[in-house]
Amino acid sequence: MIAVEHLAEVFVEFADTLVDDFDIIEFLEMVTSHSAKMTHAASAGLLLADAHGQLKFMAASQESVRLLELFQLQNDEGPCLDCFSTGAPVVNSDLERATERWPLFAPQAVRAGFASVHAFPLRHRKDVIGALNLFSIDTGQLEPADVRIIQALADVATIGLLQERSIRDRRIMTEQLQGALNSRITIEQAKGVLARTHRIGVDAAFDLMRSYARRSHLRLSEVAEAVVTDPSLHPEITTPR
Amino acid sequence: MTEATGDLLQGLCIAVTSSLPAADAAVSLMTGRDGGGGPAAASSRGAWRLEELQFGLGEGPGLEAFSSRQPVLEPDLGNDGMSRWPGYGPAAHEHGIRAVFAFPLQAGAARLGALDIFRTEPGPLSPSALSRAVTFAEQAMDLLVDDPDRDARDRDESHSGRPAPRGHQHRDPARRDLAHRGRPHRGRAGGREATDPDIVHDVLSHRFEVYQAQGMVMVDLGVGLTEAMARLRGHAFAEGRQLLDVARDVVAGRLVLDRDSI
Repeated sequence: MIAVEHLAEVFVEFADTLVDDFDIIEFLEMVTSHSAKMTHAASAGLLLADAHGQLKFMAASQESVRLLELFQLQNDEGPCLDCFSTGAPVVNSDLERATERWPLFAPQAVRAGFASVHAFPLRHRKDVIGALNLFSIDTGQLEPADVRIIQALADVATIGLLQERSIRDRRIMTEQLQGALNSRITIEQAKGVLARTHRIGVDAAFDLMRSYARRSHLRLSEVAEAVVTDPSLHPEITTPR
Repeated sequence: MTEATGDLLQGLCIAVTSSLPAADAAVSLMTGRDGGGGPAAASSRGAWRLEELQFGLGEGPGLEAFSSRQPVLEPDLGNDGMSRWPGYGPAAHEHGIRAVFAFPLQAGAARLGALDIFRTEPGPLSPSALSRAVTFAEQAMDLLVDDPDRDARDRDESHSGRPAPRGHQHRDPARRDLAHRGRPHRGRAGGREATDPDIVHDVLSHRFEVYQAQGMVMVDLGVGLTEAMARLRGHAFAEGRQLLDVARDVVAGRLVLDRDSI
């Protein structure tokens, strides 16, 4: 049962974020963190469809290579692909029993330590632009009221993503989504640079970059871009120790 | 940019006009410094001149797509486009253009220019046409990354303060056969024809490991983004392996490209 207080907290944070100049990847990360916390899920991730209809990973409640692989796999099969195609949530799926439905995804998710999975469509009018994916380590069920709340969270994420409720045509959506997808690529490039520079893993590289961005009050995307194109701007994280 | 790359880009522009409901297409290189750059290829002389116009005026859909890092889709140049680009809009309109769709040639922080697609009738691109347009932009980016003259662009990308690339050759379409057919480009994993209108999107080259590996190769070799990607792709092609597999080896630390490896 999702606590109302938590819900209020989430929507206040959303409102603050939407008013200020924000970073799209950080915003989506906030959505995933909150949805994970609210449902006691172990992990949550958000995927967006690119111009080719491929689901691309954008943000997660924790960055881990293992999780990224589980998200990437869902281009071919899985709960996110299902809810992306149908526009309907996929809820309370017991992974142990889902091998027939998702022969590649289910066993891999089980190996990663998860027991159940949920996926919510990111909807904009008649289109589905992506999916919010939750993983749990137990097979606890989401109640109908919780399902509605998480779907509302996903809907608010879509609004934040598109930055304008009254977007009438598809082209603005495409422009912004393509921009957002490109931002994610920059982050992956930056992870590679920092991982090699400091001889650490890519996950640790992400944490390094994000904590630096936060304490310096900089946008994650800006830091990532600079790490790759002009490292002298941020010697604190780009110089090997 | 080599002549071979220019040829291929021109072939790509022509392919755009046959694959999409578009009258013309052009590719311009941009340097991100005060609207620097210029046309690199076009499907017609008129399209080439429209590209030159953007740089002359310092405004236009391609420049905007490049600086905003996202596509600029203007299906109604005659109305919205006129106020959006007070100089370029009317001039393009006079050339008969009624809609323009510009796509940045980029991959993450690597930005090289834009692909501009022109229509003589107003109206948006359909979702499938949009998807193909994005694929063409990705192909154009690939061609530029693989261009043997990329070093100059690479230095420019890395804000080293060095001057913009010399030897940027203009390809005036009036001086060549516009019915040019494309040919496979060497050095690309898969060796796919850039002008193939039924392009199958190579999903594997867009997995996250590829971009992580790109960042790693930058550090390993001390080069910029474009060079790093070119080296990864070149290595994959030379070894007859998929780019994604090479990338995974780099990310896992199993493979470190050195200055001598291809």
